[in-house]
Amino acid sequence: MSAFGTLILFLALGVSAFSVILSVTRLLPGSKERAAPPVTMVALTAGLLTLAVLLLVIALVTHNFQLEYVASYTNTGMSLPYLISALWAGNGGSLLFWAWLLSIFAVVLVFRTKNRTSPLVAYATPVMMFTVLFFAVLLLATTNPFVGLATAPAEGQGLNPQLQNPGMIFHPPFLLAGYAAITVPFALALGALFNRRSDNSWLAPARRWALFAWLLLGIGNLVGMWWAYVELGWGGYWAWDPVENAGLMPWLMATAFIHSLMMQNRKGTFKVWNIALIIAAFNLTIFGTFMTRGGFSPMHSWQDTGMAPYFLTFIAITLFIPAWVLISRRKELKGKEEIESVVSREGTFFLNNLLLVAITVVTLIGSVVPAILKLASGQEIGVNQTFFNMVNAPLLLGVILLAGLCTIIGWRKMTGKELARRYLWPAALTIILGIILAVLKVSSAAAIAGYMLSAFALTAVVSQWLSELGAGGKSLAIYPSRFWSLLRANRPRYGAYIVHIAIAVIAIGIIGSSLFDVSKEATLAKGESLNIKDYGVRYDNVVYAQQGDDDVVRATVSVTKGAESLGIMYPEKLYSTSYDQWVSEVAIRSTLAEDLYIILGDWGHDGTATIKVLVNPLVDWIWIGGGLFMVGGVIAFWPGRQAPRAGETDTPQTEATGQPAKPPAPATQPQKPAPGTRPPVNPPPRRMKGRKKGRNAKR
Amino acid sequence: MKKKRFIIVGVIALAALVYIVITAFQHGTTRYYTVSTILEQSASVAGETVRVSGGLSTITQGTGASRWQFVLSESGKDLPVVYQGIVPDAFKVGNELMVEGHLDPAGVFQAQTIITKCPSKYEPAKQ
Repeated sequence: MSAFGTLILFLALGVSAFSVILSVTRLLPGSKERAAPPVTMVALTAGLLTLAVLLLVIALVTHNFQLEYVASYTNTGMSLPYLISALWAGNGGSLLFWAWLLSIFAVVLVFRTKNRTSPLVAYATPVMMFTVLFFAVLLLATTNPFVGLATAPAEGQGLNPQLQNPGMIFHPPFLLAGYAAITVPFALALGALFNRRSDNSWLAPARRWALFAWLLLGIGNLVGMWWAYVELGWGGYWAWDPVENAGLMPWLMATAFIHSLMMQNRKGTFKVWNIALIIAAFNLTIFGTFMTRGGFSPMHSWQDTGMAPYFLTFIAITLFIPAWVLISRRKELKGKEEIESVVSREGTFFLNNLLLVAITVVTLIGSVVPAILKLASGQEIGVNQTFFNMVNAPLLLGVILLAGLCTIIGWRKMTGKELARRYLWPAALTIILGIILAVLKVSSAAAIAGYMLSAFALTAVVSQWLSELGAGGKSLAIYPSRFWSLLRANRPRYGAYIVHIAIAVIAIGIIGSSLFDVSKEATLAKGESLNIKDYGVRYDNVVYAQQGDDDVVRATVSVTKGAESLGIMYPEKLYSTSYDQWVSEVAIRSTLAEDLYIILGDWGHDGTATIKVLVNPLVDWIWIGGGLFMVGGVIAFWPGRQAPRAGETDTPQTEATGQPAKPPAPATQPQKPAPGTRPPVNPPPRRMKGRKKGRNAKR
Repeated sequence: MKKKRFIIVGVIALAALVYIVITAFQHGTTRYYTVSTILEQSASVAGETVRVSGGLSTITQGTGASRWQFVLSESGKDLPVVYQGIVPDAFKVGNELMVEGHLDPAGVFQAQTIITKCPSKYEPAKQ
């Protein structure tokens, strides 16, 4: 198995290298198979990697402890879902998983658009396959998951108990899939760049993939936050650790990218910016992975897996070469870019882009400065959460404000009167909320500001949606059916509305739990109570039990709120024999208003126990918002019909379809819609790119 | 004209951001030492909140009372530490720890927080 698996990887490396060479030679002038991607090679690479993944999964599921990877991350006691999730639990397995997904996406890219815009795909293919090649090299050179042991142990080590949680079944694969998916718009952008196309033909497929990647990364991050909260047992969900930041930064850039793509689609602006964004986004995924596995904080020692040279070489290639080409060709690409006014949708999108990039840069600085300082001067510093929160919190609030503003505002400049009319209700409700919060003596001005901005964004989106439901004087009675028909007709738009609402809800949850959390710790004898807010937490008893191979220490705690009894909770600690460490299993009681979070810290032979109790307000809203985010994202992404018919709404026409404003001109003639012109409300039917195969609507 | 306005606003915004970042940096970072380096530089860190890392070599007192006294060791040097509160799960002899707090005049480190090294997801735990 070990030798066979390694052989498969070698073959995959060879085939992917060959496909890179082949696709590049076909791009050279004079090639007979001009601009046709080597479909067979791409498919073969994917086939080989699929086989490799299957082999590893089979080894995991059948407890083949001859493989070091299987012995390290599984044992015979694990259930099937966790056995499979061990595929991405370790370094080698997760990189193989990533490489596999990359190869699958390459196949999808090549097969879906085989017959159209071939130059684009012909240029994009070598980029994709080069990335696959990088991973193959990395795997074989540094962390081969098929490495065998001299003698197979009788029992495996098992998965770290903290990873045996449903969240960990979803968090890594979603993030990894998101990283792989970002490669496609990156490849397409480079395709457009190298092919000297300044038109928008790469936008439609790029947008679909970027949205897909954005959704995957968003879900991956949210599930990761949830896992950290319920499993790691410190009472929080985000610590700005470099590992967390590695997942966040690509998502921020992807968010900026999908918004500014809309701008390019609509107005032909920001072409250079967009390519720069996706180059940055892609390189951040690679760099982020490097941070996660290279050890980027003083707490994580430089794990000497020897991966650093490979990562840095790859990033040097994928960052500097495209950047250089972009800079040298930027004049060709530039349209007559002009944002007429900040007070327009383009303006808010642009500001939103700037903020998101700023947050990413700040996060990157905070993540790498300790390592850089250590290399440069030997002095080590730790960057803690205060840094990130101080800088990013106001920036993030700005993003939320813009999320509300941009939904209502129209393309092109708006008059003051029009603005006032549209923002009246949201602004009024927000101010009322502010007054209510002040009256309730909410203690933090920052919190009040945060709540107000989130409420503004929420009410803005809702009011916009309502106005669209009622457009043309429709009566209230038909709102429900119109809701569904609009949703079906224009998924990207309404999916986006739901996502913006979700972001506002998540923000409210984060503000509440970050600024108003309280905690208390005490050592209690049996029967003694700890009071926090209006909860009474009485420690009753501690028992010792067995759970499989592991020891469990379980405390019984009775909780009351005011005069009412809320029942019994069981915070516990589990001792994993194979990992020789204790793991906390906290007890959480959630309501929409707040979470009661109890950690068993310690216990004595005299029967006393030390517990820590936290009250975290509004945490549930983060998960509720997260669910909404998923729903909205899926709706926005769902393939469907094209632009709404004319007259569907009286508000700015959707850029839903990602179609260019004008039918694409031949590659020699860069086209740019004249600045300030509004695309026709009733666009002529146009060729559908990247959607159903072979359907050419009439021009 | 329009471009000029953009540039001016942009520069101001950038300056503001840089200012915030620098301020946050001063508040949000702590200097980090190993046991041996902090013992060498004990004079210069008096009163300052710093982080120290080392291996947990002995625990003098613990469990039940939540007052912990332990020793961090590194490169043959020892640092006595005092901590009150719940210790993280990976707090056990042999593990690498980081403590945040200050070194008191008596040479004992008063720790406010204990941070343990994350069990690396990507490295099989050592047997």
